[in-house]
Amino acid sequence: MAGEAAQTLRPTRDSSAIVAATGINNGLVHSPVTPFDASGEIDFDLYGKVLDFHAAHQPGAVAIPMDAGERFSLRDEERKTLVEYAVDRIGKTTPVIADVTHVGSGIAASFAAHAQKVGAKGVLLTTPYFQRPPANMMLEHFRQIAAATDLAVLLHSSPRTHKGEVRITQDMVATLMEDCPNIAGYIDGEMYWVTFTWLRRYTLQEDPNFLMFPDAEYLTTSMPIGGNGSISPVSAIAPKLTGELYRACREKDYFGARENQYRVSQLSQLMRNGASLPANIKAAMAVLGRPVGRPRQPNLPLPQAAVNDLRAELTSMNIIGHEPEGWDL
Amino acid sequence: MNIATSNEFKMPVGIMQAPVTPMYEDFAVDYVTLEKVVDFHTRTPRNTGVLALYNKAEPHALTIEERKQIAEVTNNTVAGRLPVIIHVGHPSTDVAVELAVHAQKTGAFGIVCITPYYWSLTQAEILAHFERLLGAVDIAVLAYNNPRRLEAGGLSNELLLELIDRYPHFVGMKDASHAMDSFTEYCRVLQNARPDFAVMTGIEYLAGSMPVGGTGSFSACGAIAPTLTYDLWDAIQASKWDEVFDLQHKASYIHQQFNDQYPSSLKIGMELMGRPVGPCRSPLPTGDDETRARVGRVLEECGVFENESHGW
Repeated sequence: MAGEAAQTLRPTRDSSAIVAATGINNGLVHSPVTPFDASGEIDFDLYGKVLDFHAAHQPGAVAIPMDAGERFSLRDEERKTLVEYAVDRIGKTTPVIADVTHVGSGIAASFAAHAQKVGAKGVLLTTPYFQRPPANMMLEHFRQIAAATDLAVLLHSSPRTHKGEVRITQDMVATLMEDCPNIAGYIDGEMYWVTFTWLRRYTLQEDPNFLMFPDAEYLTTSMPIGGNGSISPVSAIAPKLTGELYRACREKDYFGARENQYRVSQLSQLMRNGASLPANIKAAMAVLGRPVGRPRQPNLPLPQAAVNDLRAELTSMNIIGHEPEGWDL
Repeated sequence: MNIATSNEFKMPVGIMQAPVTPMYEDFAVDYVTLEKVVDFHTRTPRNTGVLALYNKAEPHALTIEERKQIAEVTNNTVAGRLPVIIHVGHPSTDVAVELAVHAQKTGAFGIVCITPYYWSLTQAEILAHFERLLGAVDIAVLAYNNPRRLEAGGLSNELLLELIDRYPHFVGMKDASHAMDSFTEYCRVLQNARPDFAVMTGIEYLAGSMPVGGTGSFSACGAIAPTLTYDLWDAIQASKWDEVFDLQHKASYIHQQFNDQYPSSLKIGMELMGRPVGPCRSPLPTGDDETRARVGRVLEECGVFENESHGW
């Protein structure tokens, strides 16, 4: 956390109550996969195991479904059901953050209202994909969704995954912080030191409790400048490693965390190479004795040769041998 | 692959200063003031080197002959007190090589070269560009990666590993991607191949880059607030992370002000610090009164007038 430095700035808003209401008690937010059965339907028995596995590693929260959970390959009702199921299954011990991202403002708003109704602790909202709305309409999109819920809203800017580099700028964050009291955090998919640092300074000055995370596990690079943790898709594969990295950074042992940061970075890159993030994570989970089925199309599963290569990589990285195998903990 | 760099080529660890190009009101290069700027940076305590013709020196608005003369003046003024590195980037490989060969003749410690801007290039074409440069000189060579600004795109780890494998004088890179993930991967992969391979940021974004293997930076703020930049460096070395947080945010806040109309606003800041260096060449604007007032407010707010040296 920012520590004493944040105290020297002059806050103009206070999101402490709404951030506290999320129940997020540390900054490592896991994002689980969505298992499918042989017919391509959600396998809820298996999903229960996935959720239990994550909860047992005591994340700050789980964010559902996000890219790792194949959010854009799910029907609207399925997304609502996943959130509801997750709250029932692990909600007593682990805060559930509902990813309500949708290109349509009204549909995203309905997800946000539903999330609150079923007991989620916050909502997360990525920039609208495919469309390139002008700044005023982007602001309107976020305002409509924030107005649909009393929960904390975390904005997710992901310009790398949007052609046309649709991003949430510092000016937009400033406007939304002023307009929407429940906007309580920003997730950075660009991981660009320059703007991350500028925005961190600004947000702490306005609101010392405002959260900021990169959307992948680059913790030694972001926590020294005030990052609170990260979204963590690779915790499905290496929860011990990501947990050790997070704890070292929370203790400000940034130099000591280097080797673990390297391993996590290598794993994170591996999960984004050659196939989609969920296809790679699902293949790695199967290698580690936690099969969760194929990804839904258009994402295809890894061919066997790629799975063999992945197994070799996980062995050479000492993931196999260091991390849990199977569902038993 | 695990190759050590010979001491002859080893890059110093730390923050290197990069002089602007002073101009007269008619936009001719002011070599007299350039000597003052270079000498100021050279005398700055804790500085580890001088980088001539960095982007803030407006190299792309200078003639080839002016660039050569600035390289000579810089080397002569530093006079062996610190290593001098000359930026030789140009869209033409032939011109970049010509500037590199000239830099070696002036006695520079090394050169740094940006990927050819303007062109949209394949990795094979970028590799061939750096092969020509590395084959033309036998002083230290650094690659300059700036994928956000250039059509050529970023340097791949595969390309950089090939250069490390083949050229003992390929000693490092300046990474202006400022991206947490790719910077981490550059350090992890390249320093595994050569543990002392220098990976530097383009600006003083040190708090997040040093923990993953960053070896320092070229300086954006050193002409205005050198004490601040080196205090940041020292605090990181000592793992005083609360101090680091304050200093990094202060440095980045100052940089944010200079980012608008860079380097015009930086030149205005130098004037406010008693080190006038004249206007910028077109198409870059010269700072106006509004810029002067804004930069002045920020320097006041950050205690720069109080804590940093004034004049030459």
